[in-house]
Amino acid sequence: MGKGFYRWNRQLHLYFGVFICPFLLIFAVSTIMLNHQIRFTAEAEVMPVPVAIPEEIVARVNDPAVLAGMDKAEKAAARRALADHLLGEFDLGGEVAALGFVKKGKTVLRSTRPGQTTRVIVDLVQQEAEIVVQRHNLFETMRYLHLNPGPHRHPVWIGTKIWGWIADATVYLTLFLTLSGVYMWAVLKVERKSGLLFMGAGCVSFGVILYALVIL
Amino acid sequence: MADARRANTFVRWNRKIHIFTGLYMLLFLWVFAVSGLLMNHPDWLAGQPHRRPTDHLVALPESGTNLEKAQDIMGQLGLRGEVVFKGAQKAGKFGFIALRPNERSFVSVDLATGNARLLSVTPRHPFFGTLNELHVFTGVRGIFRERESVRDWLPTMIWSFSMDALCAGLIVLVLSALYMGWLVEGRRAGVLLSFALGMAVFAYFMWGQVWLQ
Repeated sequence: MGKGFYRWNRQLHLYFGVFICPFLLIFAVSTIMLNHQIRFTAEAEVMPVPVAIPEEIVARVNDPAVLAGMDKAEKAAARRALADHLLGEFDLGGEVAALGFVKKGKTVLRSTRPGQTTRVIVDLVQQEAEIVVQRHNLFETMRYLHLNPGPHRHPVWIGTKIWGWIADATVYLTLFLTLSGVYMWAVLKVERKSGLLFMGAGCVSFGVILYALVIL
Repeated sequence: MADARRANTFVRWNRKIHIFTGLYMLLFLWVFAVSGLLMNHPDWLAGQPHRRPTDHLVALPESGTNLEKAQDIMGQLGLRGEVVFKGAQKAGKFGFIALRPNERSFVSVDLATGNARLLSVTPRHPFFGTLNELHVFTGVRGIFRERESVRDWLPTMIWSFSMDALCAGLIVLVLSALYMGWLVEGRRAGVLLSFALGMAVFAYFMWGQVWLQ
């Protein structure tokens, strides 16, 4: 520990800090949006397309007479078969949700990726589909990245998984930056008193708010 | 001469602002950083929360708004927190949720008998569960599909304001860091490279995944 450690610490603080600046901005801006429930609705582009679904697949999810003779597991397998068939028909990519539930003869596939949501509404009887694409603006994309992967979404798509690793890295780097920043401040004698004052004020205000929220 | 002095003053203040903003926000940043990590890894804290149902007799106020009625009942039950109405009221019942970071209290009052069923839900891991709730506390109301969404508890309003202030502080930290990084003698190339790398990853996730599909 000495000058060498200080120099390394300072350089890592500098380079890591500059690297994660854009990610910190994503989380800061999207937090304000989430805090105030700010949303931007994107216009939808609708494109009708024909789709071919074998009759036996349609019957096993949409024909009341056939459904009446099926148990729960068979119905789940039939829904899965429909979803698999449709995923083969449409090359959606992204984080795909396709459960194969049918309501009024229609089923919906949903694919999300940062900046775009695609819904495919399939009419099983008419054998046609509507592809609805929404391209989101910068702020909505930030909001999407803030919320994904998230506690209730198990990522399947590699894009979401990689973003999850970057979000983790942002956290680890933030923790490193705070610790290395505190170390550099502690070494600086000039700013020690005023720094202590600010850190103390931060801790007290955090403690007071937490007391009001949790204990009071 | 005067310009150089002004520039020096700006550099000195920029550095001070970076240090002091960072020190002030230290605990807040740690809370959001650690809870953000936990949000990304729900399996680390797997398990159902503790649920404790109890029954109480309450007097339902005859007048007032739903919020006032809920706050009156909370007073009778000794509850405090942010009131949330989940969807529409069921026939013959008056229900609401009292939210705090360390407890969710689901209240359902039978209008005919005055019996209040109170379901208290607390996190399985009190410390980390509360951290997680602090992370989402002011942003989760959308999931309850309220007809009207109004913040009604002073500590929530203060926490919400703190989050805005934290975000503003974070933006200040980022801008002051970039300015300081630009000024570091002999390190400009490295700083630019780090920043460009960060921006490239940022751009890939912001736009690249749509453009390159």
